[in-house]
Amino acid sequence: MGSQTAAQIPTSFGHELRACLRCRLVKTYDQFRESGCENCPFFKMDEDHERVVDCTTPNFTGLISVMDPTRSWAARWLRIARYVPGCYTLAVSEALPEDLQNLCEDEHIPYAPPKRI
Amino acid sequence: MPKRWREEDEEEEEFDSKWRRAASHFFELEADVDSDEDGDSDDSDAEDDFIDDARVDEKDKFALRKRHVIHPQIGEDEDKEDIEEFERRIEERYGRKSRYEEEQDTIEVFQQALLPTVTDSKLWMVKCAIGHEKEVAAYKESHVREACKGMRNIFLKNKMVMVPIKEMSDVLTVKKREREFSNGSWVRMKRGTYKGDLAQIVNGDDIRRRVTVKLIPRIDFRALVNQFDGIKIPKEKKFCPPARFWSATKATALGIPVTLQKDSVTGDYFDTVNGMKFLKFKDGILYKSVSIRSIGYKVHPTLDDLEKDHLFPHCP
Repeated sequence: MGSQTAAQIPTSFGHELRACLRCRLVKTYDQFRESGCENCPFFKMDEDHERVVDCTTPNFTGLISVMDPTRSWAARWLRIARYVPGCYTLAVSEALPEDLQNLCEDEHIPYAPPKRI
Repeated sequence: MPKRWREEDEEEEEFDSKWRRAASHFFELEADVDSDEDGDSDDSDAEDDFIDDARVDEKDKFALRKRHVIHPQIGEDEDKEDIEEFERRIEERYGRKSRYEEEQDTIEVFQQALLPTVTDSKLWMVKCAIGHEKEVAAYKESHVREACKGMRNIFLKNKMVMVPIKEMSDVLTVKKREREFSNGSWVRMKRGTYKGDLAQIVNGDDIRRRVTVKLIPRIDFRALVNQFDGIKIPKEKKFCPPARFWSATKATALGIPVTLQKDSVTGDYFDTVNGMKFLKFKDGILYKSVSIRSIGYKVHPTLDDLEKDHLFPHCP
């Protein structure tokens, strides 16, 4: 809906794309470095650039653009309905590093590791 | 409703008894919720329903609530209570944190429960140019047509097909391809100069199907020097150089231009040789980007191997 601020749209769709390991938001490396992740500001990627490497991955599968996550079945199915509108990946291929998982736990921020099928 | 309230706030004397009744009804309703919150202010779970209705991220509604519900309560309970402090508490309660609580709720729902129903938006298959396949989610075909207007690689003249509800979940399910090589694992090189050598995976890129590996370099210094002098050596004269740790001092002594470069992604510093992107060294070890096809089976290195490779920091 209009009241939600949307995430940045990737400025390119080449190999510089990375996905956030927690919310699966997809942006370029530079976008994460400059503005962080809209869903996960507590990672402070815009303050500490090494965080971008730790919190995001270039290894992901599938891309979906969501304009209205609250009303989209697809967003609900992918469990991104509570996040801001933006481009997301269907799946990331690795889990968040343990120290950052701990950080989530300390801040009472939910984290669900990718499921292995 | 809230609009009426605003009027009342400002022109309090003016409203008649009818207005008052309507307003008091509204007030009671809100007061109910309020007392409920106070009862278990520490128990965030109990507030979930309420938050869901309120849709916290909709700033407008939130602001209204602050003005009309919170305000009267302050007046009743404690005149001296600091409004800012109150607002801070409310912010804390309904602001960022509650959003994460909502996320937590969605995590705990079973995937089965999320399967689409007839009331959900539908998926539509749109004819696209090869390599640009898309499926659009919308309730009606006309919405899809509107959304796709002006987009390249979509052929709107062709008929759109609605994805059957039963197949909707398949569209968005990813076949998990287990990563063959995880970071830190040991492999044998299959091709080229390093064929048969032990290597350790630094990181991988599933999309490009490439990995960066750590290797003990096999650098042919003479060939390198010749190259910088513009001398080309015939192919048959090439030989497999012995595996030796890289030494920037030695290279520089031979006249090979070595520079220290920072990797923009990892922030690590590497020795590089001018004009040779594939030569990247750190702590005497070569960092080489190779295709997944050029690395072989996973190995569990022997003690002998590791002794030789004692500089690898992540020995299992």
